[in-house]
Amino acid sequence: MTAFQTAIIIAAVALGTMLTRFLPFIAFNGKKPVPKYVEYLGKTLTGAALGLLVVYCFKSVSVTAAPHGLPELISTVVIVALHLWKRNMLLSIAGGTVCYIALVNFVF
Amino acid sequence: MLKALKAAFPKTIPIMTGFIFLGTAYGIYARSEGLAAAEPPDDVDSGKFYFWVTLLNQAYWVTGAAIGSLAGSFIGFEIKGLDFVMTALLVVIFLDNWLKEKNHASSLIGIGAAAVCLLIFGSSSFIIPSMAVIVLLLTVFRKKLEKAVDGK
Repeated sequence: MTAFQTAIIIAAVALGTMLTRFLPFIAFNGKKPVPKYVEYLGKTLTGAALGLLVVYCFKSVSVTAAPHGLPELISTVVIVALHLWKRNMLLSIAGGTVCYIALVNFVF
Repeated sequence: MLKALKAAFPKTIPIMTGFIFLGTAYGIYARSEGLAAAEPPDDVDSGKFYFWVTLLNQAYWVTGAAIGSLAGSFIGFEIKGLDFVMTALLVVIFLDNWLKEKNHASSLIGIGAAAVCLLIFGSSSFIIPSMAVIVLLLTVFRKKLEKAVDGK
């Protein structure tokens, strides 16, 4: 991929994100009330979209082939435990990632 | 120039659809209650205030993506397993949201729909079916979920 293609991809992604960020401001400009259905989606879509993204992150993990997703499983448990314990986002992310790097490089 | 654009665009379609879906959800969220932490001063128009909050947040995001991409092309070596940082980030955000929400139905729908679609459609093409199933389920169970979300 050339630097130019990279630049185009970044520009396209930026344009796409900007468009979606600003569309709600144009569509719901405060003059009319936001439709109830849209308001409902605003409340419920967050959890579902995050759930989808979590699954997306684990999409390439194979349970049948060695190491059977064990590094991912162990590191995720570490993340959840760290986060329930300290509630510190950076600590949980760093702890889980370091654990994963250590597992895939030195253990499995 | 145009040829490169034509070559690049198809490669961005998965990211585009993902971002449009996420971006729309985020936009609605920001519009409805997500920016509760930021309150405009009394003498500032709230619409304009939230417009600038969104624009600034957007600028950080774009800057970050550009820095990351450029830095990535300069770093010659690879740390095996470093990409797990993305998974860790999303697990933490999901968990944070899970601890905050009164009802877990929507989160469970997201995980469930995505997992089922992953099994059916495979890892390279399950995102769009998952989004469709999620919106469908949220729409079908709206009455029940609306009550549950509002804690009534």
